[in-house]
Amino acid sequence: MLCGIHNHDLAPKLSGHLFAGRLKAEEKQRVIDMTKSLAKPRNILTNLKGKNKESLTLIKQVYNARTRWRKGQREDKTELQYLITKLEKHQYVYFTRANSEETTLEDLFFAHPDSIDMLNTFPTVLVMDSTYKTNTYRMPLFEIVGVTSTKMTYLVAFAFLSFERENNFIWTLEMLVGLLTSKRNMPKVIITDKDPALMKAVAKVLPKTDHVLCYFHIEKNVKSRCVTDCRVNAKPSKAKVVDKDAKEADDDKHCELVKKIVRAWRDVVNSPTEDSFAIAWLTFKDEVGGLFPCLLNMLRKPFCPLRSIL
Amino acid sequence: MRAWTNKYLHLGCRTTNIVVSAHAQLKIYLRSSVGDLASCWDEIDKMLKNQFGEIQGSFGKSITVMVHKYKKNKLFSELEGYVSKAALGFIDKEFERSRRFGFAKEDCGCVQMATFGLPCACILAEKRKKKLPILLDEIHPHWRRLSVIGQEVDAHFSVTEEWDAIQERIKRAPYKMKLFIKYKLRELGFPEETMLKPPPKKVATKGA
Repeated sequence: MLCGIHNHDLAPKLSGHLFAGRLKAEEKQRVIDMTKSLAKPRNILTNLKGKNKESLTLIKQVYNARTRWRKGQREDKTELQYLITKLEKHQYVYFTRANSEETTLEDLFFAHPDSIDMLNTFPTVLVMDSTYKTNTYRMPLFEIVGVTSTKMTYLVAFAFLSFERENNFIWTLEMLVGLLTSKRNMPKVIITDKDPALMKAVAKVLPKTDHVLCYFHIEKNVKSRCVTDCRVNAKPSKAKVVDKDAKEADDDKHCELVKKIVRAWRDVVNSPTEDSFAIAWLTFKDEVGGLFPCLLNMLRKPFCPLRSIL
Repeated sequence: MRAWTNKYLHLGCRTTNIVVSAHAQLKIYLRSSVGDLASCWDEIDKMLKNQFGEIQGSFGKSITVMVHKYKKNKLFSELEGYVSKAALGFIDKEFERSRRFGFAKEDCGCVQMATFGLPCACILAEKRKKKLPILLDEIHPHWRRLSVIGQEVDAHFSVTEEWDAIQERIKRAPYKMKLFIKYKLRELGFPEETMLKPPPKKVATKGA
């Protein structure tokens, strides 16, 4: 407005005016609530317009409200300060481990209070494994999982580890044992994959617990080993010009062989008694051992206690 | 290999698939693989809260919902409402097996007893003959727990001894030592003021 004269006519609609499009306090709260439950800004806007027919809010205001809320969340705390504040507030049990100068976080272990109660109720079987690609620091996330009486899975504890070394696993398992309230409540069976560091750590920290390896992982290993190591013609490059048909036939043959080996292996795995295991193992040895001693050697290692039979 | 795993009380878990499915579940919540530790925790917390609700619900169902099939069977008369439905399902399966083959003690193998802690075919065949119900004691406590037991707390917990000792030590110690003790106490008292830094970020895999 200049010299008492409007420089434009009165707009027929107020849409686009900042004051008209502002969010009311109650609407701001709704934007935050919906953001928490991961609604997209456009859906939030639809919701606002649905509740208030005269609303002149634009998408920009929704974005602004979201950003303001997000920034305000962490105040001026650093990432770990914020994390620890949250853990304290929600009464988590957590332990941290720093490097020697106590400046950089190495391992972080945390468990929800309800998880701990659950762990003390159902400690019989625990399954452990780590997963990757969960955070920017590329720290593996180690998860410990149990089973309830209703055959449902519950999460016992999580640990962000800096490395998957024996030392880290031992620390994690010791923290886990610390969560158990009494000594008679020790887990009976622990199931892991064939990670040597983890296997050693379990044997050290929980010597009395039975340790079962995931048979699925072993079978997968056998299969992949078959594919890479057990070519039917060990050196196909000998005959320089390989006939295309011959090659295809070769591949088919190889496929057949892998299937055969895996079938024999399944027989070994599923043998219900020690006697039938011995028989199945002999068959497996006959079929595989003669052709590919390397595979046999690989398999022998994990079953040291059974060596007398093999 | 089953010969060996069947000796352990593994309650039906022979693979790590349940933890793998837990990973998958978690990653749905996480949505992104490049969040920081705090945002990871935010999502994990959401997931845990939903999960506990579900588990409590499953306990409630096992206690209140009666399955028609088991109601008529004398075998299950003692169990319903006290044992989880999953366990009843396992027993029922084994019962079917025993009815079809009529197991004697020798060729039963007693796998169900060893791995699940539930009565196996030979016991069930015996019970059916004598028309006896399965007793609660014959079932592993794992299947009988249909609520979460609270933690045991030491009634005599106290820190007065340590407390007094620290104060004594501060009085006696030289100034530099006092500073150190103060620093350590501050760490304990104000955990959220931590100066810990997250590990250095690794190089980006893409666009580097």
